[in-house]
Amino acid sequence: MDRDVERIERYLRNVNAPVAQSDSHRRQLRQQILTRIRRRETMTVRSGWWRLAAAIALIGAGAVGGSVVSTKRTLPDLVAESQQGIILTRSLALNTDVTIPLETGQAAQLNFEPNPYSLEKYLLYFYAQEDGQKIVRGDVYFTDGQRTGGGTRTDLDGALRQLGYTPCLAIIKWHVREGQALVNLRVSDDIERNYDEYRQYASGGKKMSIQYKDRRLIPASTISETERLAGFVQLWSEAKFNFAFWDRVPQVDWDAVLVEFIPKVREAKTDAQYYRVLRRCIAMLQDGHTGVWGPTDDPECRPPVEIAAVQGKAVIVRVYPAEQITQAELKNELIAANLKVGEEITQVDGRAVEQILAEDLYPYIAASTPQQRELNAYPQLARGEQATQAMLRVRDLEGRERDVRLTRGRYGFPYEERPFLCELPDGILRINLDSFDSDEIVKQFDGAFDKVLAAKGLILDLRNNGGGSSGVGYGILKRLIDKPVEGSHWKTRQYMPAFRAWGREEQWYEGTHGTIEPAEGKRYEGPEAVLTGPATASAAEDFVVAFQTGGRGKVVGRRTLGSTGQPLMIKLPGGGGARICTKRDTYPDGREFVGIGCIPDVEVAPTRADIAAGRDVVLEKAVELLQK
Amino acid sequence: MADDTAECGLESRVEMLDEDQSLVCAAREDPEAAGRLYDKHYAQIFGYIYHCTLDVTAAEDLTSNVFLAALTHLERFRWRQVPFQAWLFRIATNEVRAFYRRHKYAKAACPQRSHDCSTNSAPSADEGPAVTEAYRLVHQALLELRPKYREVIILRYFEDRTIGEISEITGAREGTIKSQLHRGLFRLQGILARRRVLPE
Repeated sequence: MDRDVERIERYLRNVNAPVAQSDSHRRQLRQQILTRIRRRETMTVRSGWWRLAAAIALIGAGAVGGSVVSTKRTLPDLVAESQQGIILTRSLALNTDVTIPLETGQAAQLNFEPNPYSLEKYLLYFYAQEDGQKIVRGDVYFTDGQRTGGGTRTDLDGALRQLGYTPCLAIIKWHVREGQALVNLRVSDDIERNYDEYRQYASGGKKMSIQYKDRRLIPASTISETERLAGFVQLWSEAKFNFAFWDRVPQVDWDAVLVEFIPKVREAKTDAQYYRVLRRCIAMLQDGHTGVWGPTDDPECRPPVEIAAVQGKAVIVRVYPAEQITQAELKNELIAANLKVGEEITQVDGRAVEQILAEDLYPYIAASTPQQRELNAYPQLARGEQATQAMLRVRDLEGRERDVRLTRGRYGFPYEERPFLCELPDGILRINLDSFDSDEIVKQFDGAFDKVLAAKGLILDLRNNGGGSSGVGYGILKRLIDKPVEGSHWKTRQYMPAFRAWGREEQWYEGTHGTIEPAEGKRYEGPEAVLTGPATASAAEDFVVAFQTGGRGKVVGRRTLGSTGQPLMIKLPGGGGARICTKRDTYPDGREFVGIGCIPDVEVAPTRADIAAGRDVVLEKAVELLQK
Repeated sequence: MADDTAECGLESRVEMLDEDQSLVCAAREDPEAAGRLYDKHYAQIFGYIYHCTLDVTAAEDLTSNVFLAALTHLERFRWRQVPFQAWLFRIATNEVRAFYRRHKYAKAACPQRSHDCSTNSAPSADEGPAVTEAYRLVHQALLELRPKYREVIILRYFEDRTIGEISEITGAREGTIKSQLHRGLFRLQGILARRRVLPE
């Protein structure tokens, strides 16, 4: 090893590093720094306000040199002369907008220097106005000299909400491809109000037509044909030798798929099309832990409603709060639509829901079970390009139909955090276990254990639990069982090249998740129930398996997702990735649940009427069982 | 950051002042002193960032970030036996790391035609410098190394920093730096051998 190191050292000492210089940049930056320092010397802070000095550098394409700009000149004057790279400074009053026009080829760089003395946190946000399609990319990053955060964004409106530390510098750049674009910025000290407004703004509440992943603006293809083929072949090969469920898809001739899909990979014109082809291919394996994702997934622009499958129908389960939409036109549109939770959507843009599912969605969704496919597909039914209109045919609970038009946007529904613990009548306690991602939930459970011990009945709600680590779930389960419970069994392929050459059948390597021992000390011994639904997945299903094996209580609700396993992660060209499921899990007695779902002891599914009335029939059933 | 502060009344002390120390103190009051600090360190920082990225446009942007951050908020700089230049290099290193995180899957920068490789940034006014084939090959190989190895190799062999200076820049102990250099070089050797730049 030392000889190699000596050799490389000798080599490196003989390599001449290039001497780089950029005189124009050097001069320009020097001027910018000095101007800013001088400017700050004259700034004062008034009570209740703080001044934000924004240095705006407009860098024209091929700009050479720059001129010194007096800070006494007005912003519009300076902008009008901004062809050659002029540094502008302006003090921005709080909560006011500044609009900056950009010409073709120009990049606007805004350097923010918040006064670090007046506010601990502030909201700095920016967005593009009309003609936003001209803007190609935004780089946003901030630094306090020690830490740097941010990155390249292709969503060109955004906010820097600083909590915890105040950056001394934030740089936001927009790059304009053609025509003119307008960027807007605002600084606000009213974080809660303005952040919601920003979120609404960013999620489509405004009229702007930015396509932030628009392939017409951003190079549509960054991956060469060779790389695409290599990526596809790698994916195909990893699936061939590692996928654990070939017996579930006997109709799939995987060798033939290779030949079938190579032309499709070649024909893909853009990165997005390439990844769509890969998704189509992998979806044939029909496994929820096997899938592909692109480097920049397209934004899910939809009307301001959330759609889910209810008894096989596309039902509105949430309507975006109209009062949170700031743009009057969109707000009025939603109010006029008068949509109600529980109403069914039968058509989107003249096409039946069933047709959209069959042609546009299901073929690209990798899912182990029908319930998983529905879970993924139904929310995407009305998706489309931002700011386009969706025509929905809506059927109310009485069967009457009407058509409504709604504008698509990136509506981020307010996150409704559920309390960890709810006290129900008759001394029943409900605990919402929404994730097994982290040990924190075990700590929360242990922290509330005195209340658990005092409960006359315990309901564990796993309906929103998409998994994490099985060990986390077992950490809770051990406090609820009185005897050891065997965890799920698993197996993985044991590929032996020589055995294959000899024509021998491939073997399996088998293992178990071990035994979950009851916790020492106090344990809960009262009646228990676990609530499940189609979003109960992965490690949460491992929990349900162990719970059912232990026989301590009933599982109430709907079948779980039916997908767990150990994914093998693969990098794909262009920054996307894939995973292949390498492990099959079963109940300890060998019963399958992957591809089926854990079947509840008491199956209960809400109807449209239940959803419209806001009734949680699954919970009601569990309470009824515990009360007996 | 440590709480010890630079005392700008250093002239009352007996020991000789480092030029940077006096410039930093003066720059807090006098923009021209800031200008002199800038003039003194610009070339090294720009060169370092260029050696890391081989992209003139990126080097300009990142260099701007470094100096705007450092010189317009000098009051945040705290003497902790770390020279001012080391602090600048540290900021520059962070900027380069962030740059690579942002461009994780982008191709290696093409010197002399950096605007062809970045998607939409405006091309630099200046032409890129001539880059030897040898450096280009080394740079491509360096991109395959983990950032901590890449940084110490560039600082050592292309910025001519001593182990002590690299330790000040990165904040790691000198023993750690030596170990990173050794491992990084070994891996670099392997990469270059695999690419037939060096014999096996």
